[in-house]
Amino acid sequence: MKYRFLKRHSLLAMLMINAGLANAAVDISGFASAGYVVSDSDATFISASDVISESASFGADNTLGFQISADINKQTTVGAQLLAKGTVDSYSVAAQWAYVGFNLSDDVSARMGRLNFPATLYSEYQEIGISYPWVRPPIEVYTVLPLATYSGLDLFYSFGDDQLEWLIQPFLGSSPEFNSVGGRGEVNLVYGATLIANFENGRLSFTATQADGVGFLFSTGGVDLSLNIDMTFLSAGFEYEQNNIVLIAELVNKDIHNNSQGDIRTVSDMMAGYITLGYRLGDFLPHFTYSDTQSDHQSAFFPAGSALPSPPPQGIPAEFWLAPQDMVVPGNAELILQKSYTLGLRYDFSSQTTLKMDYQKIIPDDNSWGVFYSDPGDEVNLLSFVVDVVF
Amino acid sequence: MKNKIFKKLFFVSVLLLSSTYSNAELVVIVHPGNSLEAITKDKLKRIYLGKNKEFPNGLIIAALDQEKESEEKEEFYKKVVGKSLSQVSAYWSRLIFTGKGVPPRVLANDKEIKSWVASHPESIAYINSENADDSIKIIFDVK
Amino acid sequence: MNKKCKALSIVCSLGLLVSLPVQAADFPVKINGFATAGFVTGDMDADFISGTDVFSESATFGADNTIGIQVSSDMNDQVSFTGQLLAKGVLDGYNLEAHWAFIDYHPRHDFSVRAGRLVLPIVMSSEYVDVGYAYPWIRPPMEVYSGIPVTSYSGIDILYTLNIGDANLVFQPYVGSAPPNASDSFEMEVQLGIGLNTSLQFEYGSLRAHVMKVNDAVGSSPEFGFGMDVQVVVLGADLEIANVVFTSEYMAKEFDLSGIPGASTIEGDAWYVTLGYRMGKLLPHITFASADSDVDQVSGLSLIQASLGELLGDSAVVGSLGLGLDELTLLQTDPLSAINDPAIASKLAQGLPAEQVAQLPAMVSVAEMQLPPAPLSYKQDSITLGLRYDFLPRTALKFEYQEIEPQEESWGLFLQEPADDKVSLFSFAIDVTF
Repeated sequence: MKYRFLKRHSLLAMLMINAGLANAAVDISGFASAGYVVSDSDATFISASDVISESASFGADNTLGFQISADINKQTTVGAQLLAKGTVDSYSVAAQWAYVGFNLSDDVSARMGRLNFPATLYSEYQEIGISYPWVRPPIEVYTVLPLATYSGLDLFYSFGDDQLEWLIQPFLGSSPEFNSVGGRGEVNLVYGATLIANFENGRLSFTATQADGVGFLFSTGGVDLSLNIDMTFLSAGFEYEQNNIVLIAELVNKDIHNNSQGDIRTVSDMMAGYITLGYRLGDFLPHFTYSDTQSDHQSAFFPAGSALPSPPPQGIPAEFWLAPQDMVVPGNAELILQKSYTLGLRYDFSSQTTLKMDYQKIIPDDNSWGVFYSDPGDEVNLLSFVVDVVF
Repeated sequence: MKNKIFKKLFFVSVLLLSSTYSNAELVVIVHPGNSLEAITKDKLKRIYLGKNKEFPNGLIIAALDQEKESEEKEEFYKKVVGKSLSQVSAYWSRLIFTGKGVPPRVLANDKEIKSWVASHPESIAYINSENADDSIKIIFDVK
Repeated sequence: MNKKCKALSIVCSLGLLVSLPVQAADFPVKINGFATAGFVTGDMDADFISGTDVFSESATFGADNTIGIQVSSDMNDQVSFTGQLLAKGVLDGYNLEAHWAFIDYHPRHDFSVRAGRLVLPIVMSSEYVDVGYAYPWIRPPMEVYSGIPVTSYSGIDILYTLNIGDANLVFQPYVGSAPPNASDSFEMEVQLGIGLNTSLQFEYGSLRAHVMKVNDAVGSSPEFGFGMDVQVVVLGADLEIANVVFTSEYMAKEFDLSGIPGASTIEGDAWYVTLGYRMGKLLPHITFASADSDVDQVSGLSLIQASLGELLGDSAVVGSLGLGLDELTLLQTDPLSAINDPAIASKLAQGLPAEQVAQLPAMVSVAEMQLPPAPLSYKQDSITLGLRYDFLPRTALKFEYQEIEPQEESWGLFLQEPADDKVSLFSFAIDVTF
């Protein structure tokens, strides 16, 4: 019951696992997505860990991944996900996560290595499209946290019974230089905890994360900018299915402290959330999503000629350190203010293949470009298709 | 997951079985057609570390191992090779990951090993003495 | 699904995806792997080089993280293919590289030819330096293992084994070229290199000698590029007698440089000695290591002094610049900070020719640089106390305490000047192999 949308595949999967029991050497499985996007705007935009531009109409959501797991001994396992993506790094392959895990007791296990951030309901399997109803998870929420993975350790502690099971997952780590959308970043220390309640028809999840010494380096309009901040990140998520009705909702809040530039305009406190309602009709799942963002602050928008937020590089006088053109700071550390409506249809073509289609209307707030890199106008209509498979 | 339970059962059964073997001796076996009648401990050690690759008759040796954490394997490596299983793993990891060597093939139990040896003239293996029979030839008693 | 499944959610999500079990016994492809998860803390204010990695403060949890997956397949009795994919925490942010990828032709059991992407056998553990499970330390002594900033190459090697009684003598000659090697601090490109690795393997371990020669390599650091010829000789011993573990290596290297202002040759040597005592599953060990490079070069500082010397030698000029006595003293004792002082710089600008003023910042940056860059030239000593604990099958825990001391004027393997004379590190790692 780990993720609802795979429920129907799990029996087959279990059979396959048992078939492999005799020689528990190395298990390999994989997943892939291929997508197509059309839009009435030329503006490039970010979606979670992807940058989608017009030139990426084909390939925007393209993903190929392999997961490898092996039992080292009775208590120790090793797992890795190797991932190639169409847009972020043009199909170069990286170890998205890789860890050594220990079963300390029946209820407690620990992992150490590179781990996925358990920040939101779907963040641990964001790349596995078959695990959620949309073409891509709601961008307002899934773009708020710039860190998808970290290096460190976590602990799972589970208790409860079959009716209601609790899972507590504290974590601690850091992140050596990583590629973030539109730039590079690093985190000196990150820690937090996730609490999940699994019940018969769904799950409830809370996460609190503190990240200290978050550094970003990005280039915009030919200018290199750097930021150094601390962040507090809170999220709550709810997933529920009964009588063919599917309900999913998430709320995330980001607080910025100790901005070294003291200029809160560049990255800022914000809140984002969405609610999804769907109705399962056999192999079809039509669904509707409303998604919104809020902040007390202005968008990370720099009109041409305004002072840039980071200190000028050596040798450049401050009076010349100005935005050369209208700029919105890219990288999902920025303040993204927009709302959107999504109408989608998921069709489970087979137990291993899913077809999805989303129509999305994105409305950036006044004085914001939302997730877009250039002025998108009042609203943008997006039509996305994707095929997801697991093998 | 179900396989955990299976695995637990498996280990329990291994423990039960091995307790009956605890007084049994290990013997080193080859194909009955192999001209080798006896072997020294040093030779065996070199074979199981991948340093000796040829029988006197010119056949390229294919050594077999018992299951990963089996008592048989632990005892054999302790008595013949003089290394703990951790040391053996570390030794082989230097060869495997540099493409310089392949460790002995692992088979599940005495029965499988015996039938493999009986049908493969190049093989050498160790099993519990009470499971030895005419289908194979004993060339060394592990003491 | 039971609790354990929920507990290890990722393992379970693996399970939920349809899995294809690969069974060694009846499948022509063998899959092996290794992984390390580590933690390092201590005086991490200055970044440093260890092997081909650069450690920094944000890498405390990621610096030693490694995953390697090896696939090998026998095409027939004489030909096999091996590919090893490697992802590391700090080198390129977990990007997967083909560390090894070669075809192995072995017409006899004692002779094989391998062609493709291979790993340079520079030092004893070079070929398996990412397989932490294979050696006692968390990372091999950096004084020796950081000496040559090249790991993989494209080429051919031969492995020939000679049986001498109960010992094996293995010859491994090789030839190849290396494309620019990705590293944050340094890049080296090799057109053609040749080498011979010889090892004698006997009951108590192995002895080893390796020579390598490279002509017309291209090196580049973030600041500049240059050419070099390289010669390396390495001697080593890895022995275990009656629970006493002894590992030691000595490396002598020579770089003939072209293109670095004021530098011509680097001659350096480095060594380490590791002593350990095996007590069942525990292996406590201690390592002494040292590296010492002598660079035949003119320092950036002396370039500045030479440039200023003429000027400052003329009392009339000094008087016309209006420099105070303390400013003058600073210029003579610490010209670097003097030039960086805007008051002094503006006074100098009046007396110096315009083109010389323009060159000053460049000279400052040259003087601030380590010349040549750290992986080629460094002087440092270190002591490491370590404990390896084989606590579960194919799983080792390691603890290490290390004190690193850059020697003389060198920053050692640090990329910035460390705040203290002595840098202490504590590391912890888990190594597995499968």
